[in-house]
Amino acid sequence: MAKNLAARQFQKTVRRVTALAKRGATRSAIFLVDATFLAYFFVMTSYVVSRVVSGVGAYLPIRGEYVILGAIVAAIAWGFLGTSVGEKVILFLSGASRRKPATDLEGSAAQRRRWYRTLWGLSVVLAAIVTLAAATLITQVDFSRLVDSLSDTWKMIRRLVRPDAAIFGEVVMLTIVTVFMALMATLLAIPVAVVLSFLAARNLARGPVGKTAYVIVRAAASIVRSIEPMVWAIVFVIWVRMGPFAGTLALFVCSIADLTKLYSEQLESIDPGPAEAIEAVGGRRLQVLLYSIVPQIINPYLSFTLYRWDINVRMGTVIGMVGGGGIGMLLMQYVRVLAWEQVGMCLVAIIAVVWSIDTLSARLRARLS
Amino acid sequence: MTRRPRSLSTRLAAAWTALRFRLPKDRAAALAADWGLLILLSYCTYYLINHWYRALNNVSPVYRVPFPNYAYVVAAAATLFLAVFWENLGTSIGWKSIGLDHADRASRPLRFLPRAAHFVLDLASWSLTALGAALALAPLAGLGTLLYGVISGSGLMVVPSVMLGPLGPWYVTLGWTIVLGLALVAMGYVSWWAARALLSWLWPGRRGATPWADRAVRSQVCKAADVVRSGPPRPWWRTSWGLMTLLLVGVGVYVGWLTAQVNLATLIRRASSTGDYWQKLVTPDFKYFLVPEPDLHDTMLNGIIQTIFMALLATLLGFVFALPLSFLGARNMVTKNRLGWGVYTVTRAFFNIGRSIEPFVMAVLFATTLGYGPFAGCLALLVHTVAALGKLYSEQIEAIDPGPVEAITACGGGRTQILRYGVVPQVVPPFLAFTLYRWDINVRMATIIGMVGGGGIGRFFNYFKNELRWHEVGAVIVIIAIVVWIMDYISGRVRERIT
Repeated sequence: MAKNLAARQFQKTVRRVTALAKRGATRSAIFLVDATFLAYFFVMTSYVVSRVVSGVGAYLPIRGEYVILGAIVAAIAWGFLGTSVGEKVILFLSGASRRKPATDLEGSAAQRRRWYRTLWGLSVVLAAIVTLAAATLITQVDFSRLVDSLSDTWKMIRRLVRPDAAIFGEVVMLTIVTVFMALMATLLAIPVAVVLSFLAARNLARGPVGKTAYVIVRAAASIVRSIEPMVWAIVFVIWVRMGPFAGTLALFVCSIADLTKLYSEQLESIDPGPAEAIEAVGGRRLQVLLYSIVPQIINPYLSFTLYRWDINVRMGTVIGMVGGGGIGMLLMQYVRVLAWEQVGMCLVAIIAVVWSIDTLSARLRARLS
Repeated sequence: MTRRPRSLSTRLAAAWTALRFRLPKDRAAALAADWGLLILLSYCTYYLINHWYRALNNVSPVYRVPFPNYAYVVAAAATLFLAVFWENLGTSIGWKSIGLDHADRASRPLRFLPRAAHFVLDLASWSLTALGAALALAPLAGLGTLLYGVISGSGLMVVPSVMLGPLGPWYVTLGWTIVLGLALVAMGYVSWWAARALLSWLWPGRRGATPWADRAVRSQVCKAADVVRSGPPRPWWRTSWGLMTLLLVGVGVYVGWLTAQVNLATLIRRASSTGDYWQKLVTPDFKYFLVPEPDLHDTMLNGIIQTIFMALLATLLGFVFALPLSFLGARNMVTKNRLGWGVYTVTRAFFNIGRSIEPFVMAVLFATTLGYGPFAGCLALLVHTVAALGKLYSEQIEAIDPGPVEAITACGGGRTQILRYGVVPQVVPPFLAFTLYRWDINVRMATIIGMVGGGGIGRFFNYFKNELRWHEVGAVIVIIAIVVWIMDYISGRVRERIT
């Protein structure tokens, strides 16, 4: 009896500590967001002010250490002052703000302050204003330049809308090259991505080897996906020299990463019922795969592949601008010599091919799902 | 009992409604698909003929076997002929994918002779349909040319000056253009009547009416599953669509391999010869992250901040412009009358064209006219964002639940009230999610847009690449990857919460 009581006491303590730790984690997350927000606000304000006053933007008018220190102190103080921005953000992200309190201790909803009269509301508004000002200054928005170049732009547009039909044959040939580049990249990426997707699905990763493979494949896919195909194209242009092969390889690498992610997410959301049923009647791994997993994923896989092909065509049209072959290469050549009529012809081809493949893939995907 | 005399307009209206037609869209789409696939096959054949000719005869690598000009027209006609043939005497890929088949009135498979007859009639009816479409669209094309002449301003009006030569002062030209425009409109009505008469004969619009070709051979088109067959179905590799799919994939991959100049030998050989470059790329040098680069007079940190703010500004302004436009591009909001349809079509066309041109291309154009810098990149992103967001928004508006709108209309709510209380509450969360998603994509795009003069981190990338400073290029790539990854993560988390 006594032992039982002690055990219960121990459990109670554990629960309390866990709750405390959880609250501590939430509090420190709120504190971190607050401090970041305050530091950001300070840095941007000083940039805007110094840019307006002296013409040279300075993010840090004082030493960075002081800014960090100040932000920490201010964030701690803010924690005592009332609802801070961090609290709102963390509550929103954890989904707690969805639940309405059953009894409102502060009074009825009508008596509560409107959001724009609270401290956090005001600071969000101020931060938004500062951000907008900073964005305008940093991106060097200059309407006088826009107005000055209006006649040049108008001349360019007038030449663009009169495409030169003399290069039609060449343009069509290179557009076909672009479409085939996208096709090859997608087709070659499918087998690789299918194999990798099984390694990158959380529910299929078993054992230490499986778990490690899961982490590695997922991380690699997300790193590769973060780098644009254009950057990959440059890497491959140096590797295999200019030409459609470099573009195909760039699209191929990006397609593998993207398809692996999409495929494995689909694998993670399959219904485990059929697999368990086949295992229960003594099916082997291959049979489980063939009769329970494959039927569930074939249509989504096809639809993702079509989607990726669509993106590849889109990307393929511009990948040539950095040496990846296809219509983009021709476009860039004509842009360099400001031959806008010829550029217009290339644009017409690009619009036509992207539009039609977009529509086609959307229709087919609608049918598949 | 006397019949009431009918006025001319009533009679005309009755005649007009009698000439209803209903184009079988799925059959047209199937034919287009089959024709397209056969054209693809014939292109592959053409490519392979050239390829093998060059391989066998010692000629230049750009040599093309000379075909007469009419060969293209012949090929287009022959592929159409073959497509119709395939659809009638076998199961084509197009018909397989729309799930239809020919059958007789008792739902049994058609015999050979009716099938052959149906093939001839089908060919005729599709050709006549094309004629009808041409009749209906020709005046529109004329008006389009006229408008194009006005817009592109090559001589005030292109058509009169081409057709009639120089006409004198501008008001004479303008007058003639108006006269010609009116004539075109009149012609349009006449040819539209003719087209309707033809089409309503070929594809009658009454409920349950059979198209002309099917009527003539007493066949019907029904679901493939409903056809009563004797014996088991053929395995897919013995059907014409299955064989054709195999052939297309095989030939497509082969031609694709040749077209994309896939060359594994180069890939392997140069992997080792570019070893130095790899070694430099994977040892990034972050020296200029905080220290200004002497030639660019800027730090990489400033570059990446510029990139993020370019994306932010483009997304915010894109939101502001796309919001009103998306209501004009939503079918259920504007298409109450002809004017609404026009507005809808124009808006949608702008969305589609704007989306089709990558921001990278737009950045080139803007950088040329506005001068290099982040402002040009921002504008390029803006144009693309307005189009992309507009399309997503308007699709969302089209998908709203009509219940609240009807309820407010029934209570006597005005237009603003319908928008404010019926539409807006339904679309706010998805709109926010789309906007966040767009910001994410814009950051991605903004990282590379500097490569063609759009400012931001891409400027550094381009500069270091041209100077062959691969350590620094590696650093830029790492920075881009980190920023894009963080943006992707944050936007993903927030979107999860919103929707």
